[in-house]
Amino acid sequence: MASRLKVRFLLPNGLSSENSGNVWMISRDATSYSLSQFINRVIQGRDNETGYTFRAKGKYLNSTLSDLFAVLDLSAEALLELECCIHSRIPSLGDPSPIAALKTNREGQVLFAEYSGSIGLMKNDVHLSKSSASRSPVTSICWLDENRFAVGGVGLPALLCGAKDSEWYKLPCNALSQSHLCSSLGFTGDTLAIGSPDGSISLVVLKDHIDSFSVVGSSILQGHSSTVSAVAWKDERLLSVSYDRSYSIWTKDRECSLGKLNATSPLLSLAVGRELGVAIAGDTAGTIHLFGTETTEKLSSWKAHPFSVSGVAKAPGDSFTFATSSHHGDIKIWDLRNLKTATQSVLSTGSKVLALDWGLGGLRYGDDLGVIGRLNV
Amino acid sequence: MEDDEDEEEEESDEDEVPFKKVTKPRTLSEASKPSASSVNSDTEYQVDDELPEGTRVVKDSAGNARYIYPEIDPRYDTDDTDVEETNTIGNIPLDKYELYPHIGYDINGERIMRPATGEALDALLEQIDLPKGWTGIIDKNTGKGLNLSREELDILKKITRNEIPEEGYDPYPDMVEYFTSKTEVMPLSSAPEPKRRFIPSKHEAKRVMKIVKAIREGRIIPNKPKEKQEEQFYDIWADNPPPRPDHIMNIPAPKLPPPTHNESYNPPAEYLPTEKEKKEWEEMEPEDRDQDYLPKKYSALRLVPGYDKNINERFERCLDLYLAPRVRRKKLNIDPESLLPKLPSPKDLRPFPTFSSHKFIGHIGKVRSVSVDPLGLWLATGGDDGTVRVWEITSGIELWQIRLGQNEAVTCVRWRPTTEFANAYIIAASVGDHVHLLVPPFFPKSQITAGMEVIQAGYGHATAGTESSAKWTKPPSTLTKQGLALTITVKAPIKHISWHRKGDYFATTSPNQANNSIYIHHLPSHKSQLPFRKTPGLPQLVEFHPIKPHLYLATQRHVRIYDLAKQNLLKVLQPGSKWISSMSIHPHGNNIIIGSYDKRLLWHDLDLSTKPYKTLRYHQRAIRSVSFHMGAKPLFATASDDGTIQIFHGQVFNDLGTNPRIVPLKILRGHKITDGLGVLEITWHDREEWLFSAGADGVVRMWQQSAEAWL
Repeated sequence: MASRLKVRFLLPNGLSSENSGNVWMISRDATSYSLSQFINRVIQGRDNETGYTFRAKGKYLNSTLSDLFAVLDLSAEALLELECCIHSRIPSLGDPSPIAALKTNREGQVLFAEYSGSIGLMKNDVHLSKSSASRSPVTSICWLDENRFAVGGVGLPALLCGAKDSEWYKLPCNALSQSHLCSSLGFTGDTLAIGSPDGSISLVVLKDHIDSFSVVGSSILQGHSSTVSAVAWKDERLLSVSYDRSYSIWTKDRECSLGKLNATSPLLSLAVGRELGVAIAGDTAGTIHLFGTETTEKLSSWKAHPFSVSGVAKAPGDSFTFATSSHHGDIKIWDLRNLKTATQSVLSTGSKVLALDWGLGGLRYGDDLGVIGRLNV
Repeated sequence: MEDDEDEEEEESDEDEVPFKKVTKPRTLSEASKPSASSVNSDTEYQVDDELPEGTRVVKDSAGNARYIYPEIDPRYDTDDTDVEETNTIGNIPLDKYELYPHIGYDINGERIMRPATGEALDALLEQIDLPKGWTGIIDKNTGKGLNLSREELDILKKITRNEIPEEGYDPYPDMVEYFTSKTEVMPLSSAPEPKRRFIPSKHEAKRVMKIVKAIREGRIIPNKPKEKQEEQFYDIWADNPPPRPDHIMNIPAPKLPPPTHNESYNPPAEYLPTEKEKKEWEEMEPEDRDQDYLPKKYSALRLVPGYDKNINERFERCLDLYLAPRVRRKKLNIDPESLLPKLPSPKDLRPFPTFSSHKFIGHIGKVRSVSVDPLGLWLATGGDDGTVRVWEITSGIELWQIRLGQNEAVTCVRWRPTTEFANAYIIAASVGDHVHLLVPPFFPKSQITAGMEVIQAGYGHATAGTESSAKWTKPPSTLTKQGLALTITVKAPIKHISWHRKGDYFATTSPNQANNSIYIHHLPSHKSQLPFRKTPGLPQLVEFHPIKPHLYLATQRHVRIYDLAKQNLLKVLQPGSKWISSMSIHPHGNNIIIGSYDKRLLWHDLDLSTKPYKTLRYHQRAIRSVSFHMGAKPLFATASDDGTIQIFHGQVFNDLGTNPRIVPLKILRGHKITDGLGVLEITWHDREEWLFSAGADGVVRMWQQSAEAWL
């Protein structure tokens, strides 16, 4: 085994510097040295905290040399070409807890919820605040407008909150506390859809008073027999997926479902393409299903992940691109025009990805180590 | 007046003296005989001649004649002349009467006096002749001489001569020859000779004609001259042995190599062994020798002696032929595939778990028990680190944990069954001899309150109730906040908990204890009872029947089914295994699988017999856990110390004529063997085909069907 290693870093476009093409001899003794730090300081000549993920010989690596040596069986003569992908990982504020949900609003403010029951706010990859909302996990969140949001969870009935001066606070709305457990949330216009673990979906019409909300009407949709894992609005239609393997479309009158389609495994996640009329759902077996949003029609199914698609997110600017994440720890980006392979970068985080959101500032994910990551794609 | 007295006497006699009843009929039957005794002749009425003397005739109330026979005095009226005087003392030895002048009593209760003996007798003997039939033997019972009649003496004589004592019996009568070998001159039958006796036989003619035909055609040549057979020699020098006559059973012996100089009677000097070699050869074990002879040199062939080992080798050869006959084995032309039962392909029986999707990592040390909540959202586990943890199934994230024991392991964790979401969520977990009832605090407040209400409702009952053998205690408030709601303490370490389907009762088992091993706890009233005063055998676990009020008790070797309503034993299943480790009851209730420490899985169909319907031995080591899918999926699984989980298709048909169909589907490997233990417990998700396994390596795994099967 040679004591030094020949490495060339292939940096993403726009980051190349005069040192980009160089071949670097890296000593094996520097095992604790971070490759990300090396790129930032030596190659880029800047002292910042940009993270990278590396791919070599088809394997994804964490960013320390020891990992590199452990994973790859390297010979002295070979030149190792490392593909680098910008990737920032922001660790949790305080005690780390798995990130259960993550949503970015139109202003780039990131709201995240943890299994510990805490809700936090983040902007520009900097934590603003984090505080406990419940003793039980908060698993679903949705933005109502730029500075107000709803949260819910296993032991937390839907709760309306506001964000002000980087802190969040509870908004008074008594009627909502009567509803029981909340497994998914979706909001459009004035209606909040609350999916429940018992299979019902509550539709709550909210009236906005500046400092509070009041409930002016509500109805319950009964159609699923098990936990409603995700809900999404498409214009005036409500789409829902459930652990009972069904995908339902609820009409404007909100009384009956327009149609129902069965998948092969319990469905976990849902995203809707606003332009194309396609809903993307992921199930526990790692399969992604494409459904129509106008007519209940199954368009396609394919195996995307080893198991459990934890999140699906549509790219905000591109109507054909979407990303999926799984509990296996990988994130894949797909193009609707070519579904055979993941078109763009594929990332292996090494930990369970539990939440995925594609908003202003890039694709963000939350994992079970309490880290919120961001990918520039 | 006299009449009345007589009648009264008669009645009283009949009542008081029983033996008179016997004597009276006898005397009546002898009534025709004239009595010698004196009878009162002064009678009022004229008596018929035929009637015995002293008979009176009176008129009864109807005016008919009524005969009143004279009263019989047993002492005088009985004709004793032909009746032997019998001694009625029974089996009392006569020497008891030595001091008395009598030797017993006769039938009338009179003393029988001792006959005269000694000088008085001698004097008497001189006077009288010997009576006929005198034997000289004294009858013990009477004390007098025993006289025998001539006939009796004859019988005795015949018996002593070993003859049949019957008079006129001839043991050797003359033989009458009914059937003889002699030809009768005048036979008994006059039937004419049958025709076949004097016409030529058709059958014989046929056989003769066959031979004649064969001779004519030249197939049989009569008086054929014998062919000269050439002498055949076995060429031991030939390279290939000569072909033997073909025979189905003939397998030629392997050809021996031709003899070498070594075996010559006159070998060259270099082949002869030296003294040292000779000695070595002789000291060797006969099995170890390269050759079983020593080369010897003879100057002429005529000097070669007879082969000394001939007899031995003949015997050995015969023994070989006898013990290992070279017989060609008949090949059976059967396709081995056709012998296997027709089972559906595992591909057609999807879905079933094929790979490990999630790992629930967190426990330190072995994970002992695993349980899925009734809604199928959360997983509870307990392990050697003394903690109970609750996980979200879909993501594998730990939601909550509580430490119940510092040094003791959590041996069993079970969610309380509920049907509705709004119902109370309670976990029962056993640590040592305690059962803890837990209400996980991550639920909404309404459900936690509901759970606490269910648990705390029984506190009033406990104080008012009778002395219970198990102790129900309320934990301190600090622990209550963490989620511990109630603790029940029994007398021995608990290994297994089983809830009744309605969630009011649960049973705990402390194995390998003769007494106080099985408790049934009633949650609403905080009462525990011991259903068995003394359990038969060593109890391992109990389970409630999924539908009926039956309790299944698995002891070391048997499974006993009790009816809880009637409180009786219904059935004893005999799996035939040495030590039962686990059992699971099919959701329909008529089938049960049993796992045993001797590697066997036993399927019992309760409709068939008490013996197992199928015995499956697929595991390399002891089976720790078996589990039926309690939902609609026809699946069951077994887990073993060899670190594998085996998935089976087990379809039970409603049609009574069709037996259950069992198909092995998949072996799941993933758990590492730690301290000789592999997978400790498995459980199925209630609806999905998901399996959860608790491993001794500290990992809980979730197994599911891979997506490729669907696409």
